[in-house]
Amino acid sequence: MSDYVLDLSGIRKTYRGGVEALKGIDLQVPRGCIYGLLGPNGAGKSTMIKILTTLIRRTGGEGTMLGKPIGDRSVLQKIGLLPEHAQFPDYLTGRQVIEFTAGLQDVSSLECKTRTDSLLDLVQMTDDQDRKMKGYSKGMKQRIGIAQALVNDPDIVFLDEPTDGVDPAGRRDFRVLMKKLREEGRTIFINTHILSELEPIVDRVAIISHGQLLGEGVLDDLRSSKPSYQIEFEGRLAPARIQAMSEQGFTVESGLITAATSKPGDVQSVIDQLRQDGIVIVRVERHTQSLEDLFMGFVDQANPSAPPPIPGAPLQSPAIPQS
Amino acid sequence: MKPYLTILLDSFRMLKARTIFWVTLAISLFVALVYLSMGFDETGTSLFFGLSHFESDMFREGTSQSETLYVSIFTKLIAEYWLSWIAVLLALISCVAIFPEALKEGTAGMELTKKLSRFQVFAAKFVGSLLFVTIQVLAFVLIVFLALRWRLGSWNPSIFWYVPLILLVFTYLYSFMMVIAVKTRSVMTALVLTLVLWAISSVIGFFEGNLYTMIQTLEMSEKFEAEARESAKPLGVDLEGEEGGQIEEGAEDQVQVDDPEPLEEPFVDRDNGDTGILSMKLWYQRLLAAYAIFPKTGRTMEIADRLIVVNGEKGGAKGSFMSIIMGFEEEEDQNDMFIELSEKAADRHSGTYAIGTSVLFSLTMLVWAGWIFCRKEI
Repeated sequence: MSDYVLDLSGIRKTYRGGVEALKGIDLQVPRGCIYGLLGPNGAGKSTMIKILTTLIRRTGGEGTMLGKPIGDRSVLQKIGLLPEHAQFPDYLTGRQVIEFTAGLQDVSSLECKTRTDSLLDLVQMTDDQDRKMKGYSKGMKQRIGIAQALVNDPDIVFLDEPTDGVDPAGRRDFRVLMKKLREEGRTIFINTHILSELEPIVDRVAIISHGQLLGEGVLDDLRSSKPSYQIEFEGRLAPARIQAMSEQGFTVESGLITAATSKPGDVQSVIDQLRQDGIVIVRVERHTQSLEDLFMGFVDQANPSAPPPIPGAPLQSPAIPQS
Repeated sequence: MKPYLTILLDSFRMLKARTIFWVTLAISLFVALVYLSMGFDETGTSLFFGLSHFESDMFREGTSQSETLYVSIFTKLIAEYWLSWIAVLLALISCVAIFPEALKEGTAGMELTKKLSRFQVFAAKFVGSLLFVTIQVLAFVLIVFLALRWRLGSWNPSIFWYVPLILLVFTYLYSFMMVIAVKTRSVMTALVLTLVLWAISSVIGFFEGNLYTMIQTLEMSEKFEAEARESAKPLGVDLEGEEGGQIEEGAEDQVQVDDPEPLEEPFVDRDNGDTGILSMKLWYQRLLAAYAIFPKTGRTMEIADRLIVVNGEKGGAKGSFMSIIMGFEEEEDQNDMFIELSEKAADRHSGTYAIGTSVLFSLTMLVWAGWIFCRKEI
């Protein structure tokens, strides 16, 4: 069997009305990793999951999931899904929701009971299992959502915006849970636009925007693909010095000089110049990109005319409607 | 099998969680209880478990009229109005949300991404809706069945015919509702358009029946008139008064020998051709064509009249409530023409035709709804 649980080539989706949600996506997801599909709202992330889980049909492209062609329903028994904006029947208790999914996935009664108990324990919902869903907080619903996605002991778990609306404590618990699942050997495919949630746990990422794949790979490799050195200083640089440094390829901002290089030797001359001017050097640090830097770098590269993002604001992609 | 049962169980849980389920059940039980509270003793009829009493020689314990009355209250009042209209309407309201809910983005991700195919989910949800209606109607009819045994002293299993018939009526309308529901995903649109369909089919059924009776009445009048005229001619009697009114000698023999002229065109006026009646026939043909397409809810329920046993006689529930309990059909002086017309009108379409064409309508709708459900992108 292939090491890739997902192997997609040229996946395209054009909605009625001509909106191109996916414009030929190639993805390979290795077994047993946490894979993050990142992108702004409307980038096509949910469309991808919907194609994989047969909720919609692809317009073009080929691919396999767990060795079977995309759209083969027999594979669905081996996957778990927490859909975006999951609506669990509010007349069911948390336990009944898990049992409901188990029933749909044809899990035997005995297994269902054992797994439900252990999953409730895993998501820390044992004490609240008999309360109706309508009485749950958003975080509790998401925990139950994750538990139901695991009840059939899936090989691959799709989580679409799993921490959307979840409080900080819930997000921390979510990260811990994801690590546990990875240790169990499961492949976890997470769609999100909240990058900070994913950064500590994700192994590989794919970045899509406007239905196009902008970058894909092991997170650490991508981050270190554009290393830099940052020199923090106190004092005022003379305009001529700033001009000279800029001409040498350094970026000079207020109290910070950034050198886009991986070689320490390249920044020694800058340090010398600062000392020569009597500037106090506070810190010299080798800097790797954060996931957000990486993401924004790819997005800006793909769409150079876009205005810079407002810090803290959700990432938006206005050209494609929410899918 | 387990996934099917899971969907069925969930459909039932969903309906059970709705207030309207309990409201419908409560009203059903209340109506059944009121029916159960009516009884007969040696002197007359009692209501509300004896709280109210009416003395009557006709409607008292042991008389055939009391059985006719008791069964007819069920068949002509409760079944005809409550079960055929209000209970079906409440069932439609209860079930209308099932398919739009299933196609909501958040819900579809839960149900349609599993082992069962979409068609299997569709079928399971449809069966779940039918089960819901069956439970409601069966509970009601069961109470009536027990009430009949208690009040009349005999079992009358024929009233269980109402269960499949009401289920059929519900299916005719629900199948159409499913098409609208899966197409638009709008609960309100589905409900309103279904009620419009119901109204249209009822109006068509009403006019079709009445126009038929009207045409038959005119046709029969023409026939009687023509027969009288033909009978009178050999006898020398001019019914129109042009010749003398004397019967010629030996004319009686001629009456028996001569065949009357066949009435090929009873609708055509003897002088100018009756365009009015021809126009009626034309409209009737159009109505008949529309009637063939639309579901026949009223006609399906009328089939029960032929199947219900009253006083040991199958079909004892035929006729209006008053005519049944007052025994009009037994009156000797009743107009023969009226009886013939009524019977002809009642038999103008067979039960097989009414149910067959309506089931065909339902099947078409179900296939259409299923097709949309299976192809719908969420």
